[in-house]
Amino acid sequence: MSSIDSAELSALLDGELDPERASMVCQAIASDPVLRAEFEMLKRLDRAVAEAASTAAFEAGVVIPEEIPQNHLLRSIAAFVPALCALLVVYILPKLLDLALSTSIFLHIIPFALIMVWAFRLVMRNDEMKEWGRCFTL
Amino acid sequence: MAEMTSSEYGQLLAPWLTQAAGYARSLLLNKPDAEDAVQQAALRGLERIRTYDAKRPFKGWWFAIVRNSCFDLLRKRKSSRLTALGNMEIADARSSEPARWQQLAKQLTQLSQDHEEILRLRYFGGLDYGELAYALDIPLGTVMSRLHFARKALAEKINKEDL
Repeated sequence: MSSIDSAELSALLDGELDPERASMVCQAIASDPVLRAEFEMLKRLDRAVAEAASTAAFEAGVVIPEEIPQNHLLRSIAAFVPALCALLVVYILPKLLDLALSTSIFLHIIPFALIMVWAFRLVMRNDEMKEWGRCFTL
Repeated sequence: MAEMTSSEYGQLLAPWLTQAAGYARSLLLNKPDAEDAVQQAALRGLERIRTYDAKRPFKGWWFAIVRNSCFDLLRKRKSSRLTALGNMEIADARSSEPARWQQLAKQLTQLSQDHEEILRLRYFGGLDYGELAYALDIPLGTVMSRLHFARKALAEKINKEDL
């Protein structure tokens, strides 16, 4: 048996060997009947399998949106951070400044509104947000 | 790297959609699911376009996403390989679709997972060695030997079944 790795027969068949190596493998195939038989078998198999596989292909109707969608995880984090900051401010600030009850309640409204807006953004896609925006401006 | 626009992405994708559909069909065994998987993969790819390394083959990156979308769809519909094959036989009886790819898909499932995967990507997806290495995240040398032994294993099956 020659110094040819049998996997190189497949690589030759697939046109994946560099020219120098390809010519060495071709020479080995020409001089070795065992290698030649294996190469012929691989060729027949490749042709039959490629032909069968090609019958599965079809035109898929794919729609690519014009806008690049944001990664959902990043969007979730982006929505969570401002809400968390607002919550920290509302619970820490009144305690630090010892604010009156009415001021404290007022401060609660701000993060609540922020949380609602960001939660809304989370569940709505960009195109839906635009639709809502149009509703509000009309 | 300059950021890719949606239309640039669409142009890169267009030449590989038909093969991706064939590949997805060979895994999911029917056309509507295959179309869904390719659509889902196209959206995922657009979302993750920043992860694409422009020095490497786009087709390999794209098929890695298609492959994951197909597996997700299989998991979602909770269909084991056996139920999927069952569906295929029903679909086959109703339609006049060519059955050669279905026969091949069935034969591939009888091989080891590594062999099945590399042959499916090679023949249904039409991936070359560099693209296979990227899609499967393995070195080129491994692609060469795995593909060779997968072919030999498939040849044995085909001979055994006298097809």
